[in-house]
Amino acid sequence: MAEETIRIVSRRFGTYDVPARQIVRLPEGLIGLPEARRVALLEPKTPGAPFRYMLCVDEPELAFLVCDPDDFFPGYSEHVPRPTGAGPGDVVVLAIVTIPESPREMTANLLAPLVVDCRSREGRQLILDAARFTTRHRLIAEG
Amino acid sequence: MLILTRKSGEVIRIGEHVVLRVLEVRGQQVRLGIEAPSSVRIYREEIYQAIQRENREAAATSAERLDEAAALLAQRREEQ
Repeated sequence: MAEETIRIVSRRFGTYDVPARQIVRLPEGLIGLPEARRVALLEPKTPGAPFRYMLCVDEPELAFLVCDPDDFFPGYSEHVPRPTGAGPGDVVVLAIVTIPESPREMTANLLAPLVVDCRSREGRQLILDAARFTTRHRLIAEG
Repeated sequence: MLILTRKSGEVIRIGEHVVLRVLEVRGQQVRLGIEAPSSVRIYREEIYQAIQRENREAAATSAERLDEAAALLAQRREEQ
């Protein structure tokens, strides 16, 4: 049987047929973007790259770059609480990247990571300790 | 807006499941204790707003900028 796919047609980002199992549900949406309730996490062409494209299924003009925060800030995900009963392999932590006009100055939002429970394919944006993290940590060092 | 006056130690109940307790009042600062089900998200307003702004800004990226940033990250990986 052919695998079920969901077609995302975006004027800005193109057309994608995404396998249904690659869709993550965000029951609460993102903070300030409650309409972002289903997202597709797309692998970049470069194998092993520490980031994904995140496209909103229901709002196809909304797309983000998300990164594996541990790749840039080793040990970061230890500060992120896991859903109840989830083991280390059950959870993926992602940081949403903000890309300014000069992309080299892009930053990761470590204050509010996205936590995806791979078992249910559901995610939530959490808010961590504001004394420790901010919404803007640079990914590429200055200079 | 409903406005209530409470003394230290007094409580406001919001619906069945949320309890707000004034723990301490000292000068310009008030310490509040909040009891609510874990499904109720509780945030400091200024932090919530900062994250809201950041999410919207992250969403406002053009396809070109997204590609340029992705290329920079892939390049960084190769250099490591």
